[in-house]
Amino acid sequence: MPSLRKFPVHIIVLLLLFIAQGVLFAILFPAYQGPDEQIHYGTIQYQAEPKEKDWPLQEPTQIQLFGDVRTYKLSEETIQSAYLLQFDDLRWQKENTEYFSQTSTGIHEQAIAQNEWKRYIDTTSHNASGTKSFYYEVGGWIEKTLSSTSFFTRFLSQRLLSVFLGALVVLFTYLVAKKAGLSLFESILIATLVAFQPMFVFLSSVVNIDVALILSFTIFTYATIWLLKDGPKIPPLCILFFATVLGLYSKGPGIVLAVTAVLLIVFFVVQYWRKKDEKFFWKLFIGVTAFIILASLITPKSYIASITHLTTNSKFSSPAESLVAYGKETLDKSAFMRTHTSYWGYFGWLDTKISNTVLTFIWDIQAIALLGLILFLITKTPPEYLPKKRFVVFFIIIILLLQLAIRFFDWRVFDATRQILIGTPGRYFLPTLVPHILLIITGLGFFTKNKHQFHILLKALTLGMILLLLYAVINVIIPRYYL
Amino acid sequence: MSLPLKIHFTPLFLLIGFCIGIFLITFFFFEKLAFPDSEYNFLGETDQIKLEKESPLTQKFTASENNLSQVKILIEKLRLLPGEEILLSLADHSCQTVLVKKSITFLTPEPHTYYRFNFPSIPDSQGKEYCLRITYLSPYDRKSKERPVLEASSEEQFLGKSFFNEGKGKLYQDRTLKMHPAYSNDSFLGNLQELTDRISQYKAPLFKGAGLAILFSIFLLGTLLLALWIILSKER
Repeated sequence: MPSLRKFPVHIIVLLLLFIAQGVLFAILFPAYQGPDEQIHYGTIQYQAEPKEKDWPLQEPTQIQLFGDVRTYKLSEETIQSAYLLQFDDLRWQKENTEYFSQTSTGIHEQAIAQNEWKRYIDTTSHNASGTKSFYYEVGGWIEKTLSSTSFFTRFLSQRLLSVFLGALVVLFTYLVAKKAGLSLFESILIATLVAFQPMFVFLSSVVNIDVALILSFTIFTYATIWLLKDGPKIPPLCILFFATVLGLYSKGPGIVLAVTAVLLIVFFVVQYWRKKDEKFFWKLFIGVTAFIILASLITPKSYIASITHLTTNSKFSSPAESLVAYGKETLDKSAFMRTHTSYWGYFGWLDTKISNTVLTFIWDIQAIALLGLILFLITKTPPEYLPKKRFVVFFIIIILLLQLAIRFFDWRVFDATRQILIGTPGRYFLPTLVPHILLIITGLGFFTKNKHQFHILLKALTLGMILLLLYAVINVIIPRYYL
Repeated sequence: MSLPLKIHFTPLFLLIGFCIGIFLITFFFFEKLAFPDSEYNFLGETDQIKLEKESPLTQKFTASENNLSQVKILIEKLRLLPGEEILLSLADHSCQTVLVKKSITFLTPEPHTYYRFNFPSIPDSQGKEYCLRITYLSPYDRKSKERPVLEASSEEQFLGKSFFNEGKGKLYQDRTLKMHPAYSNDSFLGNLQELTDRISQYKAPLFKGAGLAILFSIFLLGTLLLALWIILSKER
């Protein structure tokens, strides 16, 4: 890891700017308007509860209704604040806004700020998330630490946790690009591309666990590039292990990192076996075994069961029938376009999207990049200023594995319910944003003739991404919620 | 392998491209900058009203403030063909004296949820009743499912509001099309102040009012400077 003084001033400025825009996003989105944000915040409050529940628990008296947040089984503060903030009026209701007062103080603001509502769940069952995530742990600690402050300060602080994790993603993007052999200048531009991707900035500014997963994937990518570049060494292996544990302890798809880590280590084992480096082979063999044993020990069985749904009863006569039915539901152009849209900019409760014209333009750029990428992979002498082929292959593999994992989980739920309950919103694929951006750069960069042209291309793409973010803020998000 | 591709971008071209982008963003922002009535929302069931050729819909509403300058109206499937248009007009309470009109054509950019019908602000609009008329004109016989659609509340929950479907000759009392009258302030700074006030509501004290303005300025200025650095920089 480079020391702090080795970081160029540009990346520090970029991180500060990212934090400023993250805070701005955290302010612009009304509370609870991130996807499932009421559940995530409610879970954090649940996490912050004392271990000894010395208050009476009662049976829930109401059946949970989809359009009525008051029927959720979360803390009284979460429910009441969401209700007064018109949660149900705004969620998925793109034509509605809050009821505004004529001043800078909202109609119910005092009531929410000075509330004495219970901050704990007092029902025997609850809607808090069952996912074990370090995000909730840290959030719970923040909630306890700031317990004397107002609801708005605590809620914003939780969102700032996402901003902080997002800033780390930007930092690691820079390190990934540098490690992949790109120059300082190119690495800063690639970090800027990620820092201004609108959907990533959105997820980095609302209360959610996806941003934790994005961070673990990015750190994992950094470790892998290091390993692929310099061979198996202790520091990148430690970072790889750390990123894998972080991923598993972030959200379900973190399992992809464990699978990729095993594949990676097998790759090195085979490579050293072929070189007949017996001593190193045995070291690696012991390393792999230790990794698998350790991973099996720290991964709860309930976790594996929950992400695979292996114990649920299928609604189909055979897995083949189930898969065909799932394919019919999800593998069509409109489903891909929905995923594409919510990957680039479908804010709030997927009710505030960037325009189709912009999305088509992005789609076209990616199509050209894909063509370039194919040519890059089949050519024997690709431009030397682009990332090495082995890095590109890794980027493709990790993207495919995440796609497979998300769609597998979605299928398992479909298999048990005959309904698309989870879906494949684009934000689920943002953990591989950094490999994706690097693949686009590589694909488009293949069409450049020299490094100078490659720099112009990078500059144009980065400026385009900056414009995309400004457009999202000024023309989409502000009008949606305030005009 | 490298495909022959000549690119003659220069920093100047990048700068011009970026400035065009900023201009368009600013232009579309000003198109939207008006403050709608926010005291009611559309909840519950919704009716879809497919526009019929030359069969206007008329919505009556009362302005709640002075400086009425925009009407936000929800128009779905706004994919007009060349030669087609939707005429919007704002008239006085009698629906006879047209104050302002505008037409939407196939060249009109796809709106974000609401189409914004802008017009010069009416200074003394408060308390007065106005009449919004929407007329679809087309030389084609398009199928019902291809025609633009308006949405309306299906329950009688909007007291005092009403709309009239001339094609069906039917008055819908205490119901409204999904639309909001919107108002502006006397100056651009006044508009910014009101926008800041709206965003400040329900926010942590540090980022209300001036705090928010400073944050937004840092973001905007920082982003523009970063863009400028990217345009002008060269790798050493």
